[in-house]
Amino acid sequence: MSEKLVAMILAGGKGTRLEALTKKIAKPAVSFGAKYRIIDFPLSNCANSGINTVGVLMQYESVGLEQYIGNGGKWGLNGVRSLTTTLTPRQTEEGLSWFKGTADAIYCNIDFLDQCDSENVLILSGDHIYSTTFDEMLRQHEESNADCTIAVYQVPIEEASRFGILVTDKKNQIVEFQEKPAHPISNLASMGIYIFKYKTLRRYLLDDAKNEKSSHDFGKDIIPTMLKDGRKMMAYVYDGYWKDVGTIASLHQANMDLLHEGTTLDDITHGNRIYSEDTNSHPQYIGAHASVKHSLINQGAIILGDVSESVISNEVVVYENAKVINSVLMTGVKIRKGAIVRNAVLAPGSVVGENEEVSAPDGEVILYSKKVVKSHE
Amino acid sequence: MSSKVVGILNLYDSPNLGPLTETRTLGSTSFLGRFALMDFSLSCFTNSGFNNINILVKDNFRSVSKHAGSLKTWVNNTKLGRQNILINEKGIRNPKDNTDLECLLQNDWVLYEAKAEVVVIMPAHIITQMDLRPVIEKHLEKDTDVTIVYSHIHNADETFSTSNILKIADNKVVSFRKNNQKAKEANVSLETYVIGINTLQRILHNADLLKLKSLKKVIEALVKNKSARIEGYEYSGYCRCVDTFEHFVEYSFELLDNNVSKQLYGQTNDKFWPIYTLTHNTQPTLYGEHAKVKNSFVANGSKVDGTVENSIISRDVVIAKGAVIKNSIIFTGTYVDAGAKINNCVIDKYCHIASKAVIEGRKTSLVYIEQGKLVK
Repeated sequence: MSEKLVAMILAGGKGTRLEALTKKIAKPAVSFGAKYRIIDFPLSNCANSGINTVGVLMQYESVGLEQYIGNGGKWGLNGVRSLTTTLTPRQTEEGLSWFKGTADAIYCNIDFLDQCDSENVLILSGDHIYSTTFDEMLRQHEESNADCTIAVYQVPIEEASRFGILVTDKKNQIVEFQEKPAHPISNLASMGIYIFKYKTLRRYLLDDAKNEKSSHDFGKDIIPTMLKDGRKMMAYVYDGYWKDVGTIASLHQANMDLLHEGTTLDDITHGNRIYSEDTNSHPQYIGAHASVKHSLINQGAIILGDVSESVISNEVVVYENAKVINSVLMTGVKIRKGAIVRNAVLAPGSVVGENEEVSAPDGEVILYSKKVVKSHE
Repeated sequence: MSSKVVGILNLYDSPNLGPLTETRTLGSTSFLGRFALMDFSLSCFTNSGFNNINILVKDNFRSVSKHAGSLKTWVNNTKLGRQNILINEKGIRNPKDNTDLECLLQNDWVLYEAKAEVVVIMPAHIITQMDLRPVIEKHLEKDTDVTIVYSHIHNADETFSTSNILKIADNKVVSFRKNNQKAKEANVSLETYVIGINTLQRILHNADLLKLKSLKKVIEALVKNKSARIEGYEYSGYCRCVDTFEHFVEYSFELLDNNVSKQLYGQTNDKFWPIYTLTHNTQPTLYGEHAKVKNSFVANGSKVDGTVENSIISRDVVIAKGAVIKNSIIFTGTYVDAGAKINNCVIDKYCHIASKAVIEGRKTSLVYIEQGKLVK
């Protein structure tokens, strides 16, 4: 069945800077916002855009992520006209090879895209927090008859050297691309979200695969080559909320954003829903001596102590006289009586013992990951 | 569990909860802010491994289909077995014929299609977390016609007013009569029946029995006439019979006590009994800077910046800064503005309690605000 737009979500990265959080799971599967996983955001964006076919490309710790994606039912992408499929490196006649880069990951699945027979392909990253539909971007892409449209985000010019920067003319046509430039002349950062004409992309992917010098990356290889060839490339300026949660500090900050006016879930989603796993939890219970202020708390949590400025996932228990301040508690975390947790991110299943303290000085964030291992008799 | 077992949730015997069940069935009535009452029995089917799950609906069909949908939420395998909401179409034209027996008879294709050997019938108004597998096992082992699940309670004079009381001798049920609420100690029927398919067919095709108008009455007659082998099965876990508005309120609030909720959830360390329900992709609950919440259940999708004590707040409820809610149950989608005061109330869905409103009930007699009302 021919579609206008299929989506390919790049979810293969390890997310090394998230340390212990990504020790056993891929970064897109990391918890976010008390209830969600990071990849719920791009997947919900696809669903809300009416995109029916979504391929999720994965490599690092793919089993857990594949299990979570399933048939796409959590995002409604399992209807009669939709297809969600996980794409992992596979053994072929040529042998077995890992994805060598973002472009190679798509190249390795070119047979899947051929089968989709779509006019355009949306390539996006599995680890960004933002909520939008791609309708407007696709409309601009088609109207401008571009070979490639890149979503850009305006960053402060002093931070621009951390990003891939695009220089555009007055009509938003891209004239130059600089990867992490020392002296940026534009503040339009690439969000790593591209819509390509599939026929054009296909040709460039085949050429890139043959190029032994290429690192097979969209930002480093495909985009610069297309630009050099004079392909029509447009920037699409996105002005909503967008966060790359690549580090513990930025993950913590993005969670805290959800508590503040202007960046609450309501504010950043503009009425679109973010779909996720709805756990079969019991109702959330706030105890008789508890205090809960300025926090986001999911069903299944039990709060008997004090919680403020925090994001609390399902099945978390904060016991009596424990204090949780400015922290992110992922699924199943237990904070025993009298413990103090401040400025921290607690990995799923972590336990903070009675009267223990897990805290970082203000302005810093500590990652805590400690599980009580059950003995098996 | 083999797919030869058919689970049927029977909404015909649901008691009247006053204003709560005026436009909805008891089964679809909200409970603990997150569940509907039907979820508990349906989850017993699921957790006992059933794939054939059906609901017998007497009236207020809309509210059942809104909550239960295709029933896929409660099914282990979506291909094995079938799930159906069963209505008695003849009963719409002739309410006198709108009985659970007629409804079963009209929909007996469900039994044929599933090649049912055993049928398990449960009510929505009795909350348990019953593992049905040992009940069925015993039923088959003893080659009984009907097994009635009962519980021995110490307050039958105040509770289970719509249930029957069993007298048991040698495991056999020798008496099965309406609870006259004179004795405290009693074996009360949990209105959960395991019936062999032959026995059920015999009942459904017996004109004299059909005249009795309800399955419960038929079982009463079978016990009285000693015309079937009927045994009791004692269940000793958490059970409550939601037979009145007052009990609905009492059993909701008592679950705020961890010692009671532990019994319902059955969540000791080695056993977990999920209660499946319709989910809505709502956001986690957002608490504001001025929130003061004590001893309460709060469902997802809510925004709380006021004071909430000893209360149950359902999905998508907004409680503004300065609003005070005590000892109350607030259903889905209600807005409570700054300054509003609510004490001892049950506020139904989609209400708007404006800033100057003061709604005060008594502990023994809660004020009920009907769905969609604006209270100034």
